[in-house]
Amino acid sequence: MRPLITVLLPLILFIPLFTLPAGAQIDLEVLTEKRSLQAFIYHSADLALIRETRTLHFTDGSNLVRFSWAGTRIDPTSLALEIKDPALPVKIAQMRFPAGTKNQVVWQVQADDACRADVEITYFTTGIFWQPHYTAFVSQDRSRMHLTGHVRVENRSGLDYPDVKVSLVVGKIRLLDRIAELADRPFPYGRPDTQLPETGRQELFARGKAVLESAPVMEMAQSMDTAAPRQIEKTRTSEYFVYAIDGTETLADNWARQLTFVDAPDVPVNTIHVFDPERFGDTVIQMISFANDTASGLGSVPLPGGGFTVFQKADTAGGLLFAGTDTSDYIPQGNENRLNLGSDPRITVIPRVMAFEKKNLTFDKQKNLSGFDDIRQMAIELANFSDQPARIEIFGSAPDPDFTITRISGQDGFEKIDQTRFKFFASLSSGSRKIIHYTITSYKGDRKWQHPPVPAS
Amino acid sequence: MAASACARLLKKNRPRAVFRNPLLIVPLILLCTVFAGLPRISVATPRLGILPPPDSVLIRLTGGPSALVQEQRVLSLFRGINQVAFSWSGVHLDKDTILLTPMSDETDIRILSTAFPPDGSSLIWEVYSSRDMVVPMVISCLPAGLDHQITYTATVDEPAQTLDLTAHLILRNFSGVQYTHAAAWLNPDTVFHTDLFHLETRQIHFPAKQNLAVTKIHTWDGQIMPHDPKTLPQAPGIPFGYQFTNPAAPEKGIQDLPAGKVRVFLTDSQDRTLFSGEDFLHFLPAGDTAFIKTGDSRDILVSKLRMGTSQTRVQRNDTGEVQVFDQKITDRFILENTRPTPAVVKLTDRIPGQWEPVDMGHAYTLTDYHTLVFEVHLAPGETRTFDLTYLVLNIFAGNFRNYNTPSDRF
Repeated sequence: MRPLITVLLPLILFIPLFTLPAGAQIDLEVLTEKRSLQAFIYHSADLALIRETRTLHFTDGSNLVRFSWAGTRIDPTSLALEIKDPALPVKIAQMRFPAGTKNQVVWQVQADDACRADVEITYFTTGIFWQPHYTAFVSQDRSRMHLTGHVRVENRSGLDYPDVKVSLVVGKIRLLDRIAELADRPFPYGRPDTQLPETGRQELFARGKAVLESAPVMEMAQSMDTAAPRQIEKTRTSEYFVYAIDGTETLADNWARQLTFVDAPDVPVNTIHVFDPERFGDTVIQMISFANDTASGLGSVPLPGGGFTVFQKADTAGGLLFAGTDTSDYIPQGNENRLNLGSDPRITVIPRVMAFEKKNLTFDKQKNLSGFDDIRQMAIELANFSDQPARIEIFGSAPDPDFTITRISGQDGFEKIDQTRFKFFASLSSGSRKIIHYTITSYKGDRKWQHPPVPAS
Repeated sequence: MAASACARLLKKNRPRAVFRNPLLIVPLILLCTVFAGLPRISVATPRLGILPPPDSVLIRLTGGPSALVQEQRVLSLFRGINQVAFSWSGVHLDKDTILLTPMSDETDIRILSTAFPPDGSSLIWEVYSSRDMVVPMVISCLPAGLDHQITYTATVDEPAQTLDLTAHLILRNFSGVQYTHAAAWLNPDTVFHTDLFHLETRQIHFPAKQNLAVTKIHTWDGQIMPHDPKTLPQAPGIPFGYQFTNPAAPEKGIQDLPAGKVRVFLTDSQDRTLFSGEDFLHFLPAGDTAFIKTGDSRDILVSKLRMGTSQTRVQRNDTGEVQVFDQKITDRFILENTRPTPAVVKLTDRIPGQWEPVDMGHAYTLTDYHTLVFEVHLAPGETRTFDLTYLVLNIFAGNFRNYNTPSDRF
């Protein structure tokens, strides 16, 4: 069944008060049309800022402007009415939430002269989300990828937003209250006595759920006068990035719409194999990395975090192999990002302790053992059974900061990450094997204070 | 507005019995086309058609447990913006992984956007076409409940010198979709054409490796096996199995063996086949070696006896408490082959801590600092005895006693 959409729409009722004898009052209600509609949809919170512009006619004296939002998820504490032209002889005297009514606000507007004025109504609503998702098509040799980023805008707010100018906001905002809770309150600012009992909350939840579930099935109006994908303009505002969708969209309740915001057909990628027992256990993980920069064709703005689905091209006839999925956090401009494609059993890394010694034993004045050096000769056996060369990063760690690594051989690179972690690099051609050797010496007890020089034991 | 009308028409004219099939089966595609360049009034009569079945279906069995299904269908597109609706029922699809890929020049066909209707199980692609054309499209998706397994049958010949490996591709379809004439793609060299109906499991055999050189090996691991089995009321057998290498032959294409259960059968001199046991074969890339255990042998006994322990170089503190000492240890291994045939026994034993050999009665290899592997070839009926004498150094008795063996941390 198709519900009455107009009932769900916020109504602006313009009620001029005629000068009549006390106690008599005639209300004339005029439904005004929206002139423009803007939505700023935040990614980090369940929050959308809606701005509506309408034109109202005010009579000389006191005017009442009523706004109602039954069946929606609007936060009443966020409602604001603004006269666009401050030079007009109109002032907003007060705003009230009438007793005995729900989801309704009335602004009292004082006009010194009759006039026509553009007003802007702003409010927060919940239930409008956007979620980025990326699809990567990696070339057969895994050197390039075609990366497309989509944003899916979903409207479950209980309200249709026709012809809305949509902007998507990336960045963290601080909120003291969850907007959804504010929208669910029976009284806009609560009541001074007590919180709702639990059963009341459950009833509210059930009612809200029923509203959502009974929401209408509607079509999404789409602009048909363009043959190109909708452009998305990306701009930085303070700590936020705003992705403004070109033109207007209709966000029908319960519908979602997906648009492309990144399309980089030739992004250079590196395939890296990572062995990091602390993060991934004993398996070798395959990753692809790419840089978010202009040289990669990704533009000059950060990429919002989202899910990645990665396919590898299998042939030139559209054949694909599913390579894996991963999620990525916010990718700042210029940063490298890595996607974890899961374990690759064709690359093996086996670290072994090939020799173990305790040397340089020290004793205190009572001849108690007070320290020693724990010396291990390590061998990391690498094998590449794949048909592609492999670049491998091997992460290791020591149990405490007092250690040295010496006599490294067989590696293509070594880097100390911090006081306990280190990393080797190795490149292996297809079908080859390699062994990295090194000696790690950990200083225990008094030896922490004595090395170097190394005393005789 | 025009598209809205189109979408409404899609909904109104939707053949409900088909588009909203309450049963499982067949994801459907509806194609609705409008002309972009015409006045909007003309778009009130969009064309609506149900597509024919897919021209081809490819089930790619890679990328872990998920199977990627690629269907090629031919769509008739009109110049301008077309709406292509894809709907499914009784099938769980991850919407983010559904792809529509035109097999045409990018300047001719472009996917403009995707809309997700409230029903949660359909989507509408907005496709721009530069002209009226018939174009093949590939629809890719990852339906839940469609996967594969690999199992193997290994047949070992009588002298245990060669092994034939037959692979079985198990296709399990619990996705809700019927696949007819689908190509199940394991790798470029292994493709099978088959029907695969909902709730159906199919097994397809294919030869994996023939005439692999194999070595039968008995194994004994000091960490898990009893050291003096003759004192036990029932002596356990020692595990045996077959070691083989997956030969690397790049000219033959993909030669890796996917992971799967292996059932091992033996053929005897009378050409009878005996089930010998089963093991799990981990992914075995070409060029690597695997060992599959199949059973226990009661005809080979391995005993390890400690023959002597003595402390040396004992250091004490001022109150006489031992701080550090060395220990000289002698272990004796006794291997008995009661079979009328030769046997190879692979012994694995460990010496914890810092140690050095004194007198080792058998050659060994070190897989790491404390793991010694001995390969002992026994003649029929032979009993072999050898001693290992070694020195464990710097055993801490007071402080730092937790550091006598290194941690496993890498």
